[in-house]
Amino acid sequence: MSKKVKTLLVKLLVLAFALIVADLAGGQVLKYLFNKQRSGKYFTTSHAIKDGKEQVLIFGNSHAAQHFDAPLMAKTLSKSVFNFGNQGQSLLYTYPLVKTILSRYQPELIILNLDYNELRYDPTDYERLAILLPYYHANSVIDSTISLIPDRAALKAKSHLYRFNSTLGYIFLNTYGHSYGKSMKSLGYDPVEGDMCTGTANHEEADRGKIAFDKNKIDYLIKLISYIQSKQVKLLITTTPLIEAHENEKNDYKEKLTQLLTKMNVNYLDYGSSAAFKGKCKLFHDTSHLNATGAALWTKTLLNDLSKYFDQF
Amino acid sequence: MLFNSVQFIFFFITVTTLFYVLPHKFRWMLLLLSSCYFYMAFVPIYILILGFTIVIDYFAGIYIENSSGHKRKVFLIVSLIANISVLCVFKYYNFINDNIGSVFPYLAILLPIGLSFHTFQAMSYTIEVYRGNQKAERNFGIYALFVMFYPQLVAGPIERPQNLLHQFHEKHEFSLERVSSGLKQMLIGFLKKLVIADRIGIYVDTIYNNSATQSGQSLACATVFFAFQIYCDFSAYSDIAIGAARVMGFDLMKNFNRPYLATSVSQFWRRWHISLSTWFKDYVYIPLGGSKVKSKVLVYRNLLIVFLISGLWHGANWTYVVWGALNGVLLIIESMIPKSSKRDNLIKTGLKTIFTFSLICITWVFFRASNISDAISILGKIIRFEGPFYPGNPKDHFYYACVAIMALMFFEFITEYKPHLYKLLPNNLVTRYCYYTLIAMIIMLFGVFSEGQFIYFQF
Repeated sequence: MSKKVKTLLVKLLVLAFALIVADLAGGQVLKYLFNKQRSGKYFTTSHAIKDGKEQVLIFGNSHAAQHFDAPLMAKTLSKSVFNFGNQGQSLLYTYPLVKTILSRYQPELIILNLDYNELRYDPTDYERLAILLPYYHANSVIDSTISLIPDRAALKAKSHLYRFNSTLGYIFLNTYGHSYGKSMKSLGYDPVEGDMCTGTANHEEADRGKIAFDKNKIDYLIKLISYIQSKQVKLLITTTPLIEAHENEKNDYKEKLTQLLTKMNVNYLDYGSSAAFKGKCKLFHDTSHLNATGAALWTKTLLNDLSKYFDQF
Repeated sequence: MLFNSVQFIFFFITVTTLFYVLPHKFRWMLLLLSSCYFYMAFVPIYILILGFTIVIDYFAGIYIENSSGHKRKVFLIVSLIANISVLCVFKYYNFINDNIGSVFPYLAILLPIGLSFHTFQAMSYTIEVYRGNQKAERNFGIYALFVMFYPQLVAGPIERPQNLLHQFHEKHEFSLERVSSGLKQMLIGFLKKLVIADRIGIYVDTIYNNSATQSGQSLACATVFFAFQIYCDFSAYSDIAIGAARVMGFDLMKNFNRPYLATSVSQFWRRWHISLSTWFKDYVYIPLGGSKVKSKVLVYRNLLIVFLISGLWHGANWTYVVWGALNGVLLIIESMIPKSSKRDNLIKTGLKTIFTFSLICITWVFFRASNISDAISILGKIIRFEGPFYPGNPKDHFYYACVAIMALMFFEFITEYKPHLYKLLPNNLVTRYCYYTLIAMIIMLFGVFSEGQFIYFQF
């Protein structure tokens, strides 16, 4: 081996060492800052994985986060409540969170909000699991969920810095900025303002494309329900109201979801087509998201119905 | 294989190590095989198209050199027709067919990656042999390697045979300086692609893919962002290509030279995609007469022809043709304005730079829009500049993109106007290691690792 090659190898080794040290040190600093967040999507996830111990827990996507008025529920039920719903997340995200919580303690009730098309295959659901990267190595369920993220994210997560990729802005805004939505004060509830009557609200695009079920999601739902039942925790599955009748395409997904829930003997409260909400533009921010007024009404409806399913509620 | 993929890192390390381990006489074989593997990682069957043009051009080159008189021209024309035919079939067939009323059946074919790049490189070979500037390559493998050299195979720089071909015959000794400098350029390329281009791309795609519902302010911002996205995306590819080649001792031509600091459209084209601009200058503009023609009208005609072809080179869509035509028209208008011999002060230079950038951004609208009517509608909204401004959801991509663009322009400004400032930094091992480590940390923290394709691959 020539002297030049040796010199290069030594230089590369020193550089590799410097990179590893920088990665480890940078990762530790970011982890420290990350854990100081007081609000936002990561705060909620951290609360679920690390220290949440509420009696009533709510899970799901934005429909859970924005529709379940957790402070109102806590006041009415006189129980501790937390809304773990997170925008854009699916069952793939909920499953590891619920497993982590149930391995720590036994809550009284879990409310899992599912959309009719929850079992649809959507590649973005896998990309959005990147929210779990900062918790790599927290436990084996989280690690196996991280392995579902495309583009070999699990391999890249070996880097301590990569685990906090694109989070620096969130960290500073949710630590030193004003509180962004989901916080301890709001018990995870993240209401949205504005209604569809003003004409400025957003209209969500209807689902298009062929019907494609996601085997992982079906598997996760079955495992999730079985696990909650095995831990003897009460479970209620809900679908929150929509402003108008859902698209025909969703019928296939709805049918499959209903079949599965019936088969697994789960309490399912379906308000997707509720007459109390249908066509009421004052209650909706867009076609599928209730505004704060609608969320309060929905929460009261849910609280009234809870006693039908569970004696102590 | 994408440069920004995990496979490429392993591929690059393996090929480079083997390159230096193997004796010189086997190196071209290694490079040829690895280039085939690199290309076949996209769509394997398309290597046959490359093989077809390589065989034609290889023999054309030898026949041109061995012939005299009229025959030389015939062999050149055969070679050019073969190359242009491949382009026409695979790139322009459906476009032409659509525009003549779908007389022929629609061909469901995918455009081979980088077709326009390697076809143009192959054409430059036969043209240069015909002109007597390059000797015909007798070693088929080395000629194939000239067309297929993996660093620049799918997105350039489009090399001339005089610059690259002889390098495959030369023995490249291991040079620590070249390896370090090549790796450094590759690192800069990864930074531009992963941290700037792909990050900006998230916002640009959000706005442009829903242009009908977006406001003028959002579209104006997305257009400026797109200007930086395409620059960072393409120059990143060139940086990685030039760096990877340099690590193995090969010199590829510079492709970008801080184009957004240009003070005129003509200067922009001397700084943007230099290998293509000079290709058109050498093989289209000058043969048409260039600027040494009898009348100004003919110069304008030549400019317009070059930019119309350049537009078509980029893609089989009217948006690219209009983009090319607009650039041609801007150059014509610019050439009509008398130039001052006085040197501009800093303020005037700044204003000229901003004005040139604005003009270039207008042309980018046509480059990015899906069709002409969309482009016109987008331009109309930008001119009206109505709100509200939409920063995207989540907003952080927008903020990251703003910071990245400002940082890029800051360093480009220093390099262009105040290069002596770099000398103030201590040039020792510790500083260099800190610099490399910092770049690596920025990439890991802010990079977009979705392995997004390079924009220019589609051409």
